Amino acid sequence: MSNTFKSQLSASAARMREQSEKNISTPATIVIPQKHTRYWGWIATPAAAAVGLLIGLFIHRPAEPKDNFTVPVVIATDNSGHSIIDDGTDYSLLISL
Amino acid sequence: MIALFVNYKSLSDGQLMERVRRKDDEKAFAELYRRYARLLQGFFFRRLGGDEEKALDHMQDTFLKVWSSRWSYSDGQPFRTWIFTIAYNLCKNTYRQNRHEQAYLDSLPAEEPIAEDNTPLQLDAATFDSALQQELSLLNEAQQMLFELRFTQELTVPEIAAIIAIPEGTVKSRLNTLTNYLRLKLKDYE
Repeated sequence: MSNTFKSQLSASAARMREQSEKNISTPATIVIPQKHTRYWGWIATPAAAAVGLLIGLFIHRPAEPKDNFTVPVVIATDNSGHSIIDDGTDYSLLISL
Repeated sequence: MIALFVNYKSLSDGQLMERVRRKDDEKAFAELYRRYARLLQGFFFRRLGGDEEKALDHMQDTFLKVWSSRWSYSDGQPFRTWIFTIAYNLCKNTYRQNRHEQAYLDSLPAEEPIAEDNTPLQLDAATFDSALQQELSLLNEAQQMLFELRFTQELTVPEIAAIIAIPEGTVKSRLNTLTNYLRLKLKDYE
């Protein structure tokens, strides 16, 4: 008896549901809010860091070492090209440095 | 292998919601909307006094809540229970907002019961439905909600317990009380 009554309630509820939903018009779609901007965080943060690093490297770029350079050294020589200063200093070594 | 084309209609509610949560998949969300929009609109329509506009607003609010709370959905959680919990809470909030209006409506004298005279009852489905509807309208919000969830939406006791956030035993006992009450009131129509 109990189950019969419950079935009766269920059947009646189903009919009432059908009846009440018959005239309901449901929009076909729903507008959802714009996508969360969390992706931009993932893209923007490393991109900004990379740009910053590049700028930093550019500004603080170390001077390139020069292989060839000249050292202005004036050494008095005689006609034969030999140094007239003969105090034992090896000038050739200085120049090569 | 990466699936390029997903047949959303073949996915379960849980799988769709998982895609919504993990990938912000709008197509999966649209499929869930297609499956539940009408059901929820009907639920709100009946629970909010047959107000079509309110029902539509509440249904849309429910889906917006589903979207905005998608992170709180956990894998394997029954989607139907989850979405009805959101709908139930929205309903409760509306009841709270309309408390004064409701108090006024409750204070109105109940309508005359059906079939006061001794004329033989026409024991057909329409008569029973009408009598049941009459009795349901006299119940309080909590009892009406319980009837809706159990008999109209055909949710199980554990599902109802999860939605209303009360123990299963309490749901069972409230359902028994409700059924016995209705049986008593509708004994002439059985």
